[in-house]
Amino acid sequence: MYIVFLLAFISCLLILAGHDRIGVTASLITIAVLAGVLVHHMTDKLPISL
Amino acid sequence: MNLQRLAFSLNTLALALITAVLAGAFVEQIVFGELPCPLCLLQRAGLIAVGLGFLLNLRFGIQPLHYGVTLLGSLVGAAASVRQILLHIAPGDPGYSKAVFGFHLYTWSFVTFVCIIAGVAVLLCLSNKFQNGRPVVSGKVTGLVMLAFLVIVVGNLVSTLLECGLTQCADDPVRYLWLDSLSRTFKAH
Repeated sequence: MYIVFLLAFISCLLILAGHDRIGVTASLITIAVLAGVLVHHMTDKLPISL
Repeated sequence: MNLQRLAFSLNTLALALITAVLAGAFVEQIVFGELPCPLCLLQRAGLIAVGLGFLLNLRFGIQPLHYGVTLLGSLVGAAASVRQILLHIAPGDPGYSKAVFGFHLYTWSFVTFVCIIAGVAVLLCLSNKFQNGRPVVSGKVTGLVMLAFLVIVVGNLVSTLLECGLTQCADDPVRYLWLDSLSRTFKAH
């Protein structure tokens, strides 16, 4: 679970540091990972331990 | 006040409200000792993802791409809320944690995500001319709100690590995994 918050933290830092495109990309990756963890929570089928 | 300025102020207000909601969740966790479950953490992360979209608007100017980030975050957060509502929908199920004003926090969370989606739709209507990346000059209040949001994100990262460590969180957590390990280590020495 920590991985989502870690990615969100990195996204925040990138945005506040003024990296426009990388900030957006990091934010989208954060949301994708969040969705993945949610699917994992619902199915318990993904080979991850986050 | 022109529409651009109004939209910027509303984005600041939205980020401030999200930060306040996340701070409220922390108060419940620390003061009342209620550890967040995995789905609760996912809803918090959904709120943070929503906040990232508003943060992008405040930092780089209002753009549809940034509102897209907010909407995607809302949808994932709402999905996590609905999942938890459905887990406790059976008659006689007391639900997880205490109810606030008649609803459990995950129900309020779903209402919040729906309100955010509606709010972003209104903001998109307000922003008929986007700034093409030119940020509106931000004041001290906006700076403080952005800083508070960063602090809340760090707080959630630290709290999750203390509660779950580097592994999957317990379904019904009753203790902080890393804090307990640390206290056991100190007692052993």
